[in-house]
Amino acid sequence: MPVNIGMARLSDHLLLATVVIYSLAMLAYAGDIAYGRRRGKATAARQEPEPALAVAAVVRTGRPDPAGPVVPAGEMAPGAGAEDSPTPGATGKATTEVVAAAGPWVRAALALTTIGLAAHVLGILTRGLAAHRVPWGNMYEFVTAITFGAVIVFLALVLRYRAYFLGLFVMVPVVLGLGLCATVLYTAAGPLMPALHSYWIAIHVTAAIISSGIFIVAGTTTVMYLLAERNAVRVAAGSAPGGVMQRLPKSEVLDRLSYRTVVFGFPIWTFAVIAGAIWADQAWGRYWGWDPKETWAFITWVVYAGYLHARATAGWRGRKAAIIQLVGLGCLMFNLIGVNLWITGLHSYAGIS
Amino acid sequence: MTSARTAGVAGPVADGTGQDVLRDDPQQETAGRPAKPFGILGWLRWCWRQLTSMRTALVLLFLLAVASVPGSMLPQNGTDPVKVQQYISQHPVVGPLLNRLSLFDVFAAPWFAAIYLLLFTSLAGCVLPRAFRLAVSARAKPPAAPRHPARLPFGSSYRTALEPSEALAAAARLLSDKGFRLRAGDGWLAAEKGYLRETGNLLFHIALLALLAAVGLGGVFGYKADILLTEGDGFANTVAAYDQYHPGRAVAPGDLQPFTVWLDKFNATYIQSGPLRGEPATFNASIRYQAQPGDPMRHYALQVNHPLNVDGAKVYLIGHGYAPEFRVIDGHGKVALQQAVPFLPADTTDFTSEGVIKVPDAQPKQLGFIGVFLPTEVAFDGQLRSTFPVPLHPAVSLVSYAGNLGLDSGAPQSVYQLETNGMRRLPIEPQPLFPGQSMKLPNAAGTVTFTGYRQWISVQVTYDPGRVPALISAIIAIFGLLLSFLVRRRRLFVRVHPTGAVALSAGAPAQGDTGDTVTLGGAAGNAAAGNGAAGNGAAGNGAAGNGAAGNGAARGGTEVEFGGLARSDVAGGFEDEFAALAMALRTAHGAAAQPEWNEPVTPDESATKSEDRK
Amino acid sequence: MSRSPRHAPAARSSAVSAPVLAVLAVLAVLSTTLVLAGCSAAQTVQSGPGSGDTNYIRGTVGTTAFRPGQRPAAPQVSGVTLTGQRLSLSSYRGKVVVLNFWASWCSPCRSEAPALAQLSTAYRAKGFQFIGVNIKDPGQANGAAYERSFGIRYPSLYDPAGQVLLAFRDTVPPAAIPSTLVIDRSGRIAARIIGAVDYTKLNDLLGELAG
Repeated sequence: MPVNIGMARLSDHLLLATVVIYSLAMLAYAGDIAYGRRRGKATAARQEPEPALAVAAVVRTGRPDPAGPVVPAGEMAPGAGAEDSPTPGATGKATTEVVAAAGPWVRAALALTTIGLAAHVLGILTRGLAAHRVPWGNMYEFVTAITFGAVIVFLALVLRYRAYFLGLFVMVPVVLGLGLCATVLYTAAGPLMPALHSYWIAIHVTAAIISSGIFIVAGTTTVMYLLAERNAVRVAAGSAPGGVMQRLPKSEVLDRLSYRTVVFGFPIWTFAVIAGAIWADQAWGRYWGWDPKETWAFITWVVYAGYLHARATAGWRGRKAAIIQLVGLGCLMFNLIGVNLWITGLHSYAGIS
Repeated sequence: MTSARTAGVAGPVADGTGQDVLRDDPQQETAGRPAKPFGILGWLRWCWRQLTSMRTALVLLFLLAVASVPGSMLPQNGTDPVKVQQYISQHPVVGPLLNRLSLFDVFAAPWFAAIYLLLFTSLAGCVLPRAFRLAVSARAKPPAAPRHPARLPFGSSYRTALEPSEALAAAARLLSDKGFRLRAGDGWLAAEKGYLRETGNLLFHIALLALLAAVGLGGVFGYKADILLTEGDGFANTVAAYDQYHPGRAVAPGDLQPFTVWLDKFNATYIQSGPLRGEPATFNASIRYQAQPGDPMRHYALQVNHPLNVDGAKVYLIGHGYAPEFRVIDGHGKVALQQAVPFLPADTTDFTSEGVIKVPDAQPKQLGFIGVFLPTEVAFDGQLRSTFPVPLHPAVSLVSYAGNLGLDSGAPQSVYQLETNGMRRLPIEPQPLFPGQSMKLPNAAGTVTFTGYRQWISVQVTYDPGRVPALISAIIAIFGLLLSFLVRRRRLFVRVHPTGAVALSAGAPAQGDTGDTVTLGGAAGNAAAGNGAAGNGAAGNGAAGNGAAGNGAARGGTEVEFGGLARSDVAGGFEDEFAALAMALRTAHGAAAQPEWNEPVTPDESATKSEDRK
Repeated sequence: MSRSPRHAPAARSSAVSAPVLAVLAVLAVLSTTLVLAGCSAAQTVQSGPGSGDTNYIRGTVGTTAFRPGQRPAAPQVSGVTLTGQRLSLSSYRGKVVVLNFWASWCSPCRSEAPALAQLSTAYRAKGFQFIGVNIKDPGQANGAAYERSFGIRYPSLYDPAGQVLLAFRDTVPPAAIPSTLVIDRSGRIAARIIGAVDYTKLNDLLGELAG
């Protein structure tokens, strides 16, 4: 079937618009970090050391809390819980807590992100419609899909943990990736190579894309964690607390968020590798042949498994585990991009000559 | 405290105990400490314990990943031996060194095998004993309730009008309905849930072992073979018929399934226009096969993602190309060669193919030709080029040689390369030949005619008995992984104290609060932060609890202390669950009074906190 | 080691200590020998044709001879020769049949061809019949040219797919080319030679069977 040129062009335009909108969202997140309210900072002296990660559901269960006013969703402020609503462990050491309020900057940024996401998904969809196939058959399409996955995961974290602070840091690789797509990686819409004519593309590649998005978000959180750690060390050593870092959550919060994200993504990545092996068995005659892409997928898996083990091993928690995770992310990026571009193997579907 | 009975609960995921637990559980820990210098047995035991520790496993795991890197960067003998030779010749110093270190054959190298064998020994040595222990302790009850459950991270206490035994019974009913495993004692109840987590964890690791075993099984009992088939050709699944054959160690030639396959036609379509012109669109090989000699012939459309399944073996379409047909009449006028000669594509965008025609039976001298086949030939700047992979305008160009091909000596030769050492180039310029055209060779050496062309496919036959077991192991591994990540292990404790005019309830907690639950509270730490607060806050809590109890002393009834402990912090959400359970429990007890939520606070704030509270 | 090593406490440094490395090294050596002696997975195998391909399986060169009581019966083999005539193995019962598998482009086949041609004429009078099986040669012309080159007068079956090989699967599979089977007068397989035939050795072997 011939390619629908009009649809393909629409897709290109939509993805360009996505880049622009995400860039604006990025600015809004930056604005929130710089200028946004941080309620409860003034009352810091009267409270607990900042607690761990928020689960808004505690307050959102709707169960009548006889002891105090239900803190309205969206107004979660550090410190409010401690004084007014004695929800169990709201300021307890092992509990949920909150991050900054969703002020106007955050609202604007989220709105822009959502609009950008709509443009993003439409861009991917129209690309698929133009080429009459699932829209991940070459590098351009992979990267658009992976960035889409990363934004989805970020928004999921926003919904679940109100992790607005991630916004700026997640948008950076997303915008970069999409920018690369529009420039260096661009390929015209066209049919798939015969080797990719299989329903496995929907299974294996989709799982790889989702888990890549998850790992990217986890990676950005880890970067933030390392920065927060370094800042904490500096503050403890006596230098004045830096402006931006003080406005971000504590390093433990970031560490745990990053860990939970990896835990969510690891089974999906395992599944992606296994689905890839099943597909390889059907297409190439063997389920594992140490093709460079397979090898690097294996390496990535091993490093993330190492990260999970390290985090359970004394002496390896904290910074060392974070470094391991970043190495894993590096392997993942090399797997997705480097192998396609620089190493020839059975997997060379970059579509770039 | 983690008892030896329930040891081994910590999986690959963070154990919420906050202790520095080595993977070796306490049982092993106490068992192996020698009082005197080691004997051989002691050394061996120490070695074994080192090997099966998680630290070693981590190191080996990373070593495996690092060892795989050169396998993906350097050309490998298994996939492209020619590139390996090129690399070695281009890097005369480094090349042979890398070769000696097996870096051109990483995944078959002994040191690579050593790493993964060690890793799996380590894994087996750790996982299997734990699996046995799990099986043994699968029915183990939760530990006894601490003295003051209210001091646990998710602790609370409140009062109810029920009798202590009734309150306990109601709690037991509620918790057992929710699937907790219970253990009752004098005035207390301990409940635990989430035992499946360790099961899932072990299942995952055992499945990995099974996966490796399946891979080994396939390697030993399976085989792989390659053959190139031109249209009209066929092959029987026997060793001698193949171009390449790689059997596992336990495979004998008589084990090969006795099927035969014939290639009738191969069709490839390419994109004709647009920016992707020349890219392949579809490949389809029409083949006939019979599972055994004498069976009826069946037809099959062999495509890239649709291998042929016959008698347990799978036949795959790997690649394709062109085989121009030649007839060579030698100097004596006899037909010395007549066949389609497969040429290998040098460029997959336009399928310019290169090949060699060897005519060893030409008289008086053997002939050889190095040829280029152009599917859509275009003369461009004096050069011949192909512009499209479909043979719209096929042409062949030959460079002719005569002499000794070297085939009669017995030394093996590549069929795609001509050894020109013993040959002399014939004084005739290569010119493009179109189908039907001939080239007359000088010195009455003969005539070569380009009679047409056919297509060839390269086919791989594999038999891997370990394939299905590997798949099953992989699926079980994912299942175990999900189980170990999703199932959270948590404990709840309920303790009831009858309240009455007795001063006991007012006094005892204050005296008892300095010590016993500190470790528990500390051990709760699924958050690293605020760990220390537990024990320190106990004093304040006790005072607060006391105050309330003291006030209500005149009323009678039961004071219920309820606390929860998460043993893993994987998925979080304990707060919700404990809160909901606390609510349900209080509802069940019909607690009338205001709930006294237990909030551990930091020491310097405890005073102000208590005042703030009531 | 100045003192006996204790079970490593958790708080120690995470570096892998020297004894651990030594143990790992020893175990590495052990497992290496294990691997070399044990299974070898043929995983990294080139798929598809490569420019270095010889396109035939050499096999393990050697001769296997069977004692009179232990000879498996030869299967039914029949087909069309390079000259287009029908030929059946069973019609040569009573003669010793030397069945040789060859291809015109296969180098060791060409190197043994003169020996086979000579022996075929030498033993003809003693009731020996040489029969060739031409496999992996598309079309009869190449095989006919080969026979001309070496003066081979005995018939050869035209079997491009190697189906005659299948017939021997359950008995004594000729697992390479060239390979040669010697079938005695009662139709039982007396010997199998893998690799190029050596004139002297085959001569001796046939001499034993002549009686």
